Amino acid sequence: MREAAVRHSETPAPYAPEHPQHPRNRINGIELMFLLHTVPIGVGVLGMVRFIADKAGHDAPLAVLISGLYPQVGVLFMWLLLKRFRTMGIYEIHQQLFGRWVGKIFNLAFASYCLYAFFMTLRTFTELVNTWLYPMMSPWVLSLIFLVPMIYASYAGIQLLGRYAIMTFFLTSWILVLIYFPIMEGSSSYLLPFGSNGISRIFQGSLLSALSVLGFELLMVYYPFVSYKKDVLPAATIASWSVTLVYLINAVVSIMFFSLPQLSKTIWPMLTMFKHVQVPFIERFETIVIAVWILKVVNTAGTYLWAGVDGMLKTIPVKKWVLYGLILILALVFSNALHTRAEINTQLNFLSKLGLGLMIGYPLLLWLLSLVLRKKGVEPS
Amino acid sequence: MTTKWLNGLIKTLSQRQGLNDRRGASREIPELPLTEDPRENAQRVLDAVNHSIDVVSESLTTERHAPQVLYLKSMIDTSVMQRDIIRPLKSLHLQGKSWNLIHEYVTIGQRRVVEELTEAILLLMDGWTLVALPGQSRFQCFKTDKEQSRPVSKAENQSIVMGPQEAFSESLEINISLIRKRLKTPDLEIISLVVGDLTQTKVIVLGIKGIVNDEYMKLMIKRIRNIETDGLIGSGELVQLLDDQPLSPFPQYNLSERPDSVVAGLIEGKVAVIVAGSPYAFTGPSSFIEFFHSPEDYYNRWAASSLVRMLRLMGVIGSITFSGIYVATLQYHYEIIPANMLKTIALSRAKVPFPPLYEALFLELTLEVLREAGARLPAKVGQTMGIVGGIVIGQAAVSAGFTSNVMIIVVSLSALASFVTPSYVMGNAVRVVRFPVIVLAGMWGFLGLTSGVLMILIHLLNLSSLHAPYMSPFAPLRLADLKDTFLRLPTQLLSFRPMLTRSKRNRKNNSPSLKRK
Amino acid sequence: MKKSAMALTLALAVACTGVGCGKRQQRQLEQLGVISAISYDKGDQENILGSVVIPNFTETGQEKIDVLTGRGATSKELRFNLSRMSERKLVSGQIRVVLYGEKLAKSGIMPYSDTLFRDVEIGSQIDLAVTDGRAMDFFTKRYPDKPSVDIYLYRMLRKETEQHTLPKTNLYHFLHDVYDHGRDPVLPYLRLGKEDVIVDGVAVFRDDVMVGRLDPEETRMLSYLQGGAALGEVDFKLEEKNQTGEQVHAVIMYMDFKRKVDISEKQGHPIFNLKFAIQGAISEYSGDADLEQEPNLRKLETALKSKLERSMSGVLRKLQQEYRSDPLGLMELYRSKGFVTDEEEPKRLSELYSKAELQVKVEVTVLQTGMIH
Repeated sequence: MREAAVRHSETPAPYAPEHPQHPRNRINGIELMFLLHTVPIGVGVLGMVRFIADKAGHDAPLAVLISGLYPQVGVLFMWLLLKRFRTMGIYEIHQQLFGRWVGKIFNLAFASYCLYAFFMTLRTFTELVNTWLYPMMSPWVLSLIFLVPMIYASYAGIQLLGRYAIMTFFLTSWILVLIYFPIMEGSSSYLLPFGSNGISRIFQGSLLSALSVLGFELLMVYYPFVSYKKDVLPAATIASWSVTLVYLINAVVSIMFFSLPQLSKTIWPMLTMFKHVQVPFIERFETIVIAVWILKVVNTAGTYLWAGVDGMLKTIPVKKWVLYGLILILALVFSNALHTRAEINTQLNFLSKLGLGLMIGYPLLLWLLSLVLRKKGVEPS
Repeated sequence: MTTKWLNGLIKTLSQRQGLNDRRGASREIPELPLTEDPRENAQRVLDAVNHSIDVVSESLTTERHAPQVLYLKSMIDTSVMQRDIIRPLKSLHLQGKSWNLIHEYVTIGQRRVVEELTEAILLLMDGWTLVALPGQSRFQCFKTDKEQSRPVSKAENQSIVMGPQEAFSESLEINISLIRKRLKTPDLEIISLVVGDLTQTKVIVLGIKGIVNDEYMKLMIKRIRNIETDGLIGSGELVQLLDDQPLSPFPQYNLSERPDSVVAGLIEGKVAVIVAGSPYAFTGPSSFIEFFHSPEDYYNRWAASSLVRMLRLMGVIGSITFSGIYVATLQYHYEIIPANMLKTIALSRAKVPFPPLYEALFLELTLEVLREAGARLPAKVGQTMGIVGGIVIGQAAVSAGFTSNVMIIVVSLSALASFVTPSYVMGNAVRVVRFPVIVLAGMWGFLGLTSGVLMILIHLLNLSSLHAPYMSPFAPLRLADLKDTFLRLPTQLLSFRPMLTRSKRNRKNNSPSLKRK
Repeated sequence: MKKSAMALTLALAVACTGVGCGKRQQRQLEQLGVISAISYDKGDQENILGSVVIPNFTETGQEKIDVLTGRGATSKELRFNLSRMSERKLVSGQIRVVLYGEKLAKSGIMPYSDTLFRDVEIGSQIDLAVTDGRAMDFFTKRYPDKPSVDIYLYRMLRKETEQHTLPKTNLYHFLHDVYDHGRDPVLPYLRLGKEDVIVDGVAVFRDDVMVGRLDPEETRMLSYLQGGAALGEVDFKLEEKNQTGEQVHAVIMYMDFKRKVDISEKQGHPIFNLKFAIQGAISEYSGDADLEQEPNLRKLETALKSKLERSMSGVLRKLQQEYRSDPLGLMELYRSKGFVTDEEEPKRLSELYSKAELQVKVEVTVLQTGMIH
């Protein structure tokens, strides 16, 4: 409401179209919250319980609960850093902290990370579709099908992505109802006894779910576009714990539904669970769920893509459409180059470690550095 | 290449360039100053209109410098002109009084004195009668136009069961009066503009001062002013010239033939536009969900209205996806068919020689052709069309084995579902976007289907109407506005104007309490 | 800016359309041999015999089934051999019933079905069963007055599970229990009748190997022991005799059925106390006693109770000692109480099960004695 009055001002905007405060670029607290909530929930959640249960066994839900702390801690550090630099985002902070040229290198590195995450989301999902629906379709054709909406959404900018996140949330939240079917088959004895596996294994398990909480580090990219900076901390906190809640539900139901050895043989436990859904007019609900999941994947990958492109555009003089064209071609080429599930898993492992570092360690590091160097943001004139 | 060409197309379509506000006839009229000789003045007017046969120049007397009366025979009410201009002037002449007393004798209220030829001709074209008096280098102009219009009739395309039945007609006066009689407030702003070099179409912009957001009002007026076109015939044409995104298949302003729904829009804080000669007015900014609201929803009980609204939305979703789902299922995902249905579907497909995609496209196109034929034919013949299409083609196609009867059911269901949309333009848009979805489903199964629907969704989110978000109140989310979207909660609870209109007076004056005091 | 985005996507959409004509996988329903039931038998040497049922929808609008039979060393090879016999591509997404011959079941099911279960096209709610004799005979036999064999078996097994005369035994349950260390699966056991198929109890498995079977009466007890029975009737033959000298029958229709398992440990031995509380109504009684009178009713209740306790613990003992199989999932419950940790779980559970002490306690309460017209 507050910002509504200034948001779509049609008087010739005092800002350039790329400027964060241009009415077409601003996002409000609600949109930020949904962005932060929906971006982490991508392909990872479909397979996460299996990895966690390998380590934490029957205590997987506990591990997931603990993993809820990571984004929360990361958000706090990011908030400290961003508050110090006023309206700046990570790309501006780099240049402020390290100077123009070194800052550019850091910018490119962070942007490449975003593009890497975008590509891995895309590739993991195409691999999933290849296994579940179309074993014969070549990965690059599948990639192309998904890339079109991704690029469309990401080209339109952060505001559209924010709104799209809201729609994604509501259009996919009905999937939660489907857990009724696995719960009816599951047995609660698998959840017991609590905490029998010891704190260290539970903790290790929680680290394995880190891949699924990636997405919060983008807060540092969103920040300049948020119209009311006061909303950031509450929005991010709500988002982080609601993501954890979703994962917790997933973990509890999966552990109840599968026996542990069975779970360790199941690559996408969540989809296997949806196999069990049967309604009179449709069987094999996992087909529908995969199709609907495109919404989420486009949301996640599209947002990462935007974040990466945003950084590139701020750093190197290149036309937007050229950049997108280049990314499109590279994504197609690489999606054919990365073949086996083992290769993809190695990459995902690397990505999850990198992302966790960028989400928690990196903002803390930058914040401390800024304290030492006594640099901070200035109030924009 | 393509990008450039498209951009050019968009530019010509949208006319957002800062063009001069050019009013006036298409051809430059030689701007000769008017003389003191009435005959000479009349001659200049006749020259300017190329001695068109319906422009009449009459001398009042036989004198050399007799006053000249000029009018457009086809546009004026001749009896009014005779009674109120010719006869008084003649009696004035007979009484031997000065021509300068013309204003005492002529009883027509709307009058103007014009000194420029161009302006005089514009008035003449608009149905005014020009009088040139000796010794005066100007025209005395009187409004004598007669509008050819049909009376107010029943709304046909947006008919409702309960509630007012009046519809707009082609006459601007009548249309304004239909609105005015429902809105007796001095705050109703009515601004008149003219569009079209040749047609000189009057366009009226309305808004309630203090409720409507001035920026929308200004933007609408600015866009209408910037239109440069030879002719503007109807409001459906104008709407497209005002779109934020002209390439979109979706309408961005809500066209309505019902004064009550326009007035409701005005009260919500929208800008309304009426075009002379067009029985459709439109309001903006509009949101997507608005096109699925019928005025009747507000006259009916809230529970029934909510049910109907949800049915409409389901209808739209179904209409876009039904055929696609059928094609995708039969071509790629046979495993999702339940055991009991497999037999029915497989048996009905057994004789069909085409793949499901072609079958679906064939039937969908047939249906569209039938529909178009039915719409353009006179009502009586139209019924026959229905019989021919429905029974003869349908039955014959199935028994000949060209299509399966399940396909016929699916296609007719999706066609039926597309008709529940109250807005005709939106209904058409839905019909159009169905085809790419079917093709995508035929190419990549459910993946193609969802990515098609996804593109539509992103496009809708990207759309705006007068820069206001099209998908409001879903995205950007405003929970309070959801009360009047796919639901219609009791009127007492709808105490805020929608965020979409960014009204200056956000709260409505109705009592928010459900309790009877 | 925004407009060129639209133009870009438009161009891409066109490109996609072009790509769509390329290599892709179509599975058009009428070109597929949709397998609806499949059977596995042990053949000579290392071969397995298999047969599939494929509904064939003819252009005259009639439905008939094709039964293809073949052999192969692995199930993969078998599928390959079978598909050579059909003009259509064999697909497994609509399989509803899988039958295993008893011989094959006794040598373990998983090696032969691994490819089947690995197939993502397969649903999780398909019914498995073990057959008396060769499974393929069930497909080739004609059943007059019955729907085609696939639908017949599918509906019958569904009905039995829904009525709780069989424990839940679809593919999901089977795999769940095979992999689970603290639980073993059972599958329905089918026998050929004169003109029909008869469900004749269940086959009991230890992991994926069939170790024995329970007759229908015992199966019902197993169903109760699993605590899964929600509604149903129990027919009891009591010890007493009525005036005509016939054994007395009592049928109790139960309305409420509760199971409670108390678990404790004594010197490394698990102790399970299974307590059942059954509340029901007498719906049939052929004895002479007047059930309106309280003492008579109590007497009947104790008779029922001891009868139930005896047959239940009989079944339990058979499962534990004879078959060393745990379809009740008792060891899983034992683990969930924290007696065994995740790491040592697999090794010790089966050993502990054989040492476990099992007790059954039943409470029968007759709420009403029914109506007498």
